[in-house]
Amino acid sequence: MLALSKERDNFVPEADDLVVELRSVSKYYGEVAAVSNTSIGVRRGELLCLLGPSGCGKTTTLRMVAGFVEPTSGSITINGVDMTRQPPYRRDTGMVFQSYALFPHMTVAQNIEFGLENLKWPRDERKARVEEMLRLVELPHLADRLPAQLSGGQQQRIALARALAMRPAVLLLDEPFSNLDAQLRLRMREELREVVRSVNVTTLFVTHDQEEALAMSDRIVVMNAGQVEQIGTPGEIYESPETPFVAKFIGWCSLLKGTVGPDGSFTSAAGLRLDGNWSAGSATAVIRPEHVRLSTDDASGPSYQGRVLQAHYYGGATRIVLDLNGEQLTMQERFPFWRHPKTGDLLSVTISTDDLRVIPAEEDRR
Amino acid sequence: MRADLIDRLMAVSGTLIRALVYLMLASPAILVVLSSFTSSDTMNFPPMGFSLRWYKVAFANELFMAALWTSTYVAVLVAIVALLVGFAGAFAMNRFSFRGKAFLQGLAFSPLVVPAVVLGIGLLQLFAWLDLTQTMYPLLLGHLVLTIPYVVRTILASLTLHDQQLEQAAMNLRATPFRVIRRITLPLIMPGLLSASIFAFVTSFGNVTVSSFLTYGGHVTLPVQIFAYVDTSYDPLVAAVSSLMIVVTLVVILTIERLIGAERLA
Ligand SMILES: Nc1ncnc2c1ncn2[C@@H]1O[C@H](COP(=O)(O)OP(=O)(O)O)[C@@H](O)[C@H]1O
Ligand SMILES: [Mg+2]
Repeated sequence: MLALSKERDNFVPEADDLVVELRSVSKYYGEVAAVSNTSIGVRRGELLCLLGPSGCGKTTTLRMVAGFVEPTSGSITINGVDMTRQPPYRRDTGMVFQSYALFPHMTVAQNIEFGLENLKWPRDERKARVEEMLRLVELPHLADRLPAQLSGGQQQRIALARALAMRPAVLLLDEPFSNLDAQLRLRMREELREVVRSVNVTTLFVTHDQEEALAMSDRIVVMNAGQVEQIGTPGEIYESPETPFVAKFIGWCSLLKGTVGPDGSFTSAAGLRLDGNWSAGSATAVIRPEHVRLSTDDASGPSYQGRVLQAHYYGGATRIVLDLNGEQLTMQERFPFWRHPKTGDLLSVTISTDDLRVIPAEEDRR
Repeated sequence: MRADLIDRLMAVSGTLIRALVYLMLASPAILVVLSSFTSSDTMNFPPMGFSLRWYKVAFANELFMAALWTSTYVAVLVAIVALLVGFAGAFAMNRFSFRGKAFLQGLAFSPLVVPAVVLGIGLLQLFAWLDLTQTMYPLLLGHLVLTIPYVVRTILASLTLHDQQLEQAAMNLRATPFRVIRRITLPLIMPGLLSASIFAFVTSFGNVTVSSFLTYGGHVTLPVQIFAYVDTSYDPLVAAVSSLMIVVTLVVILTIERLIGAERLA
């Protein structure tokens, strides 16, 4: 498809060059806070993802940026200009709706041209831009079709082309892949990323799919119950979650509650001990499947006996739920089928504590 | 095989019944049009001979021609005003909440509870009191009272089914509210506007009961004039005049479709 420029791959957005800035934004529906006291900055050129479970306020946040929802308090600026009370048609945003919202009575080309007409562009420039956008999404042959004559994936690409035609300051996408089947979703994900990269547009993207967020984003905002839990790169979010919620939401993990003693080692409530060098106090240990390994002879660190509670064979790997001194842990390991563990078997495992995250309780805001 | 046959039979009988219903609905009009071409002095069916004799008489009759003009003029005006008022009302009810909204909705959705004769008398008294009896306003207003509820109802139904997300998409593409209505909302609810305006025209154009109370001051509508004429004489002239009415109705409907339908492609 489109050639990816090499520099773009190692793109690091400037922390102080914000295209969109939400400052202490809240939105109340009656007594209910859909979004409360949220501050988010979208850096120039980055793809920022709002990630969180259904109902956590992602759509509301996105719609406040587009101007369809008026914040109860706080301010929103786009390229440094206060837009908090401006109507949607005065804001330099391009939105791709979850259901695409293509105008059914206009052809594909007319859909893409609509925004340019509103900006009063001359006719030949409009035509040129429409062609350019159709080439960008690789659908120039569909210019004269009506939206009803397109497949879901094609509609999505046209919606993207329409939103990008005016070169908006920020591209807004609300769960753009949720109406596509699993296979197409993966392909469109890659395509979207390439298109967005090739035109260098700042993008604010909403999803509840953590895998999608990890794969696509430059940075991720994890939201929970109307508030920001953590903002960081996919690596930061996955490797060093700041709250148990983030740890649980991003990737598979077991959360062990316990305390860190004066010697820096962690002891879980059920008595499982992990040696380390953490700061003392009550804490939660985040143990991901990749931290738990079968003991080998040259293994360093203590070995634990675990009883198999469940074993699920996935071909390439087996996911095993172990009972370790009363704590449940999940591990993932490659077993030949003939040596496959069964419920009740005893396995000897080690827990790698090098990159294991222990979240002190005071960081846990909930 | 057997199910196939039953399906086929059902389909055929369905088509037959539909044709029969349409024929029954259209037969009075067909009868009138056919008898209008008679060459005899009296109404009869089947018509005797063929001539345009009664059309000549009709076109020469100033009373009928004036009434035809009045009816057409009033009905076109009623259709336009009912459409404007109806759209504004329906849009307000669909998009905003305001005091008295439930009352207005109830008004639009309840059938006409006042008998047409009572409505006619009431309006007659009202306009006499307002001293408007020498004008065309009583007719216009009377017909608007008859048609606006239906127009509001039809447009409101279209707006309810209409996807408002499309309007937000348009606004996101920098369209001002006025442009959103013109380029997105109106074209998409066009079928509703079409049937509402045709209904308003036909209702106004054919109404007798209310009109007969409001045709003072020399503004007589065609149906009222035909009624008055048939009271004293019964000759093929009324058939010719009625046929002219049918022609005007068809022309107006086609024009509305062309006007509104063209907008959709713009
Ligand atoms: N128009 C509305 N009226 C009342 N409550 C709303 C409205 N829109 C959203 N909410 C509530 O606000 C919360 C956040 O909604 P939303 O932003 O759509 O979440 P998400 O997109 O993350 O699933 C939800 O609890 C939802 O019920
Ligand atoms: Mg949502």
